[in-house]
Amino acid sequence: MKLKITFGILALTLAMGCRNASNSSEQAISTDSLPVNQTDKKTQSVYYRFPTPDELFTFIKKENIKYNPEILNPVSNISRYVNSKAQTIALGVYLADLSYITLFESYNYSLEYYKAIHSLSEKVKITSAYDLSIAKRIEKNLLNLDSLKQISTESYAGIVEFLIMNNREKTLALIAAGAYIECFYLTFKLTDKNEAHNPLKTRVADFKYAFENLYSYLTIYSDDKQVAQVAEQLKGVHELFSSIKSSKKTKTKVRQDKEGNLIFEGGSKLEITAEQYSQLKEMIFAVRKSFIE
Amino acid sequence: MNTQNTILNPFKTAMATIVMLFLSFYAIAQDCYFYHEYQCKFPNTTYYLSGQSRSALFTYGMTSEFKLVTFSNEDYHISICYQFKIKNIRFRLIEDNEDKTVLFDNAEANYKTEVSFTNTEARRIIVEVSVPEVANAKDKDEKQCVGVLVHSRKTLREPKSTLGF
Repeated sequence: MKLKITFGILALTLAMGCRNASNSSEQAISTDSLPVNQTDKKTQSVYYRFPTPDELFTFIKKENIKYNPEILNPVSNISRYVNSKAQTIALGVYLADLSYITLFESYNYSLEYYKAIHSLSEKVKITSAYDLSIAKRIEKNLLNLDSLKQISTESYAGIVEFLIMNNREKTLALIAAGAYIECFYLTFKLTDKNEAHNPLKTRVADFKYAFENLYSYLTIYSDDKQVAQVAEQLKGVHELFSSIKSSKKTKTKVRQDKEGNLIFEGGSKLEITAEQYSQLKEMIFAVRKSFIE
Repeated sequence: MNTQNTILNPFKTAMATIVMLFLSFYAIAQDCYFYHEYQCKFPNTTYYLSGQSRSALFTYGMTSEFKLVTFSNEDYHISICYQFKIKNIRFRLIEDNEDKTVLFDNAEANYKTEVSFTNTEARRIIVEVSVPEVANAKDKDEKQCVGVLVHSRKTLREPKSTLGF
């Protein structure tokens, strides 16, 4: 009899578990087909994705830029970050710094920054996404640039996946905001010359789309006080990026090479003026200062 | 009474463990956690994983999309993977501008599940995945995972103007 009751409870528990999981999934799916104004604000009907710091930095190697560790946020600053908002944003800043470091094969720095990241990830309770096994991988691959970059990319992607799957998009929004501002800051420090034909200026203009996706993401989760505060801090940056216009040159064409790979050519090209560049740089430096101090 | 508890406790513990394991597995399966990284095809090692990769639950007859950012002068590799038993799952890359130019449609390429492309200008691209309606599918009421794996690298393509070696 008791055995039957136990199995009955077990079956009921399983059925309830399945029903709950099923219901939550159903809700997530059904909202996809609804127009934006009919969906709950928390549920994204349009999913915005934005590149990782590693993806933002791919231009570095191409342009033969010299490594300068002095422009990074020192790990000694970590003691300054005492509340959860500051710690979460700083985590993003250090993740961007780690991406920059791994690109330049600065092995000693990579471990130091990893430790800072691990310490902050413990504080914001995401250590399962950024665990000690990563430290071991870094130590094992200190002389292997490609592996270090791979680890850095996978770690960031792992954090993104972990936070989305655990319904912690608000934390992701703050981390990404910190990471993006640090990426932009480092890029400006590396592309100091505001010359008309500086190839890195094109990259700054290219950041427009990535930032706009991030800003849209922040807006979606701005019912959270901390996310709303950060969105407000980034409002000026958003306005400046929005002012970067694209020149319609040709219609986008798709052609195929001999190996069967596609080439997407033409279309509009983003163009940043010297004034927009200077204003954006100034704004990014101010926001970065407010993030790290 | 005490004796009964002693006998039942290991049984209850075992049952609770089974329930927990089942629910954990069920939750992971339902959330498609890292599905794209485990199931989608990777390109060669010159590419790096993009944080823009994504997995989601789909049902038959459903279309969903997300917005991707691509940079100029970079190569991209996008592959899709799915739990559905059918093979005609469509994915399209559409430029996210006024023209809404369709850059790639796998329905015109035998429903292949991967595509590589070089991008000459920065673009916003909509990745659209559609699972067709299959009225008599045995699993038609099941929600199943679809993954989109994105990789990128700085382009290896030589500029057109290069002369000689």
